[in-house]
Amino acid sequence: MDDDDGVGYEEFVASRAQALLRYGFVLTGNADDAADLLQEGLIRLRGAWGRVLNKRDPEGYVRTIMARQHISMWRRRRREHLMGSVPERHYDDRGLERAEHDPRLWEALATLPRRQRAVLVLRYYEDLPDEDIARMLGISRGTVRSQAARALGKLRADWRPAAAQTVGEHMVGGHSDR
Amino acid sequence: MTDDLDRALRGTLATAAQEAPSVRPELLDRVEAVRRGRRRRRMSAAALGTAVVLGGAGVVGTQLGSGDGAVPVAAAGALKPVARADLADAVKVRERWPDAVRKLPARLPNGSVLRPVALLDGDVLVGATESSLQRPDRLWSYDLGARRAKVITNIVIPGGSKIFASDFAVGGGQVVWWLSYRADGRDTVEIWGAPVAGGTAHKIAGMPGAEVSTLLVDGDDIVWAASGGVYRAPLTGGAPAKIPGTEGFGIVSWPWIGSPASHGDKLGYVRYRTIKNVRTGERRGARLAPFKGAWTCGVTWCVGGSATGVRYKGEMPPIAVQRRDGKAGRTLPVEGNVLAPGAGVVYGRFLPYYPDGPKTETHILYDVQNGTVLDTGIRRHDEVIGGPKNRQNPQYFLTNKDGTTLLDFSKIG
Repeated sequence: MDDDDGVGYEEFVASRAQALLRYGFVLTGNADDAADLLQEGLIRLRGAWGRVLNKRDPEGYVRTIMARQHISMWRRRRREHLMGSVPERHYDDRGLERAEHDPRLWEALATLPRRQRAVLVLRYYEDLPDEDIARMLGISRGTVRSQAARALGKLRADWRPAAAQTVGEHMVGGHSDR
Repeated sequence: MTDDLDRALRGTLATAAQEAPSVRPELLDRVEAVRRGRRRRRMSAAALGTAVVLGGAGVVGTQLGSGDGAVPVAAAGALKPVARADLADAVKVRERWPDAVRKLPARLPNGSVLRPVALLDGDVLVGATESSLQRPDRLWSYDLGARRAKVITNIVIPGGSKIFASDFAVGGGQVVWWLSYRADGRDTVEIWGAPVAGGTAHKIAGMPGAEVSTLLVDGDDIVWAASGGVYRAPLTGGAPAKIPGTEGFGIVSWPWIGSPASHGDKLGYVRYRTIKNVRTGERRGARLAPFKGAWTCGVTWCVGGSATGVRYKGEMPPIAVQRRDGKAGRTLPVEGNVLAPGAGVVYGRFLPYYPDGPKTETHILYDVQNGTVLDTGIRRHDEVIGGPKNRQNPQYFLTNKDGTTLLDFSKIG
């Protein structure tokens, strides 16, 4: 395992596909699009395997591709069920605490434009700083911030109307010292 | 700053992710088929116009064209060199925090050498004796006040043993350990336990494999990392259950797990580049400053040292320290060969630091949080403080020619 180069493409897929599919699922909000996105990401990775391995971060490569793909025009099948399956069933593996979960928020995420949703996923699921998000999506940091602010504002309005007017710069500024 | 919506978003996304469907078994075949089809149509990935920028280790990857104009370059803060003169005089740990360093008996009253495991409340030292080198045969509790020792349990040594009882850990009233053996051509790992109060050793769980990287007690469960991922089983015994999504991960600081888990010192290697909290699903990457070396990351801090196969033009690189998020980067001066940077930061805060290389006379810690140098006063011979298996365990036992000394990180202010 010390030798990363010895890790083959198939081994990478075998060990990371499920995690990548989860990522695709939170990016797209539904199972079919997540599967398509993952497949597309892996096809690209396969073609670039030699190059990517030298960079030692095949996973980052795929995640970047998947995020960009999702935002770009790419959509192989037009789907109506944007909301997908609202996760009701919880992950109940013994000892794993339930994360806070709000089905209404999951639904509200489906109403966001894709780029805004991707920014939130990268920030709150991948826990990336804005600089990294900007790099991944090929946009400026300012755009990341404004997209996040807009998305949060919309979510806050839908999610808990009483708090809608508190949306503002402090949200965004607050993120940087998180 | 975190508010309710931040928290709710994190929780909702983490939970939703667990609801993703399973990967289709034919995924690889489909990838191959589609790819072959595309190649036939002479469409390369690049022609699709996807812009890809690879992050990490200060290396910015190739861009294959982008729609959105300027792309900011990786911006992990640069490493600020700290000169020898910048380091204030070392704080003497023994004087400032007398409880942090404690000399302990190296032998039981019967004269046997005791390998310490844990110092419990009430001054009871739990440790193991060995029948031969690294072959523990008995666990003891030694009441230091009363100077009386009693056997906790006899350690069962199976036939075909490959690795003898290792990584003893105490929790939930039990002391646990793991061992491995080979039987019928197959390697098996077993986790055993015994009540700290004394009793028969019993098997808690077993599974195929040759080695466990970290074993610890988590409430009513034991948790361990092995080559296949991270597992848990009830402390009372039962089948091991693999925690989903942990393939390739090791235990960084429970409940944080990280990948890649193996030790490595190739140029640009980052141990635990990605970490994940198994309770919340939170993930964190690492944004590292450019540095000609290899890194080891913990939950918050990353430490860089020299890499193999790199020519350093007669001068070894300093030790690099920075936060995982790219902040607070600096390099520490070292004379002579760098010792043990691979140990990483211990107890979330302390970096074993040998400013004079192999000539360093006492065990020194560098407090990464406030930049102070701490002299434990524990004389060193040729040993270094290695990375403990469980980085949250505040007790570190140092054994050398001078005997056994307990360094309790939790007692350092």
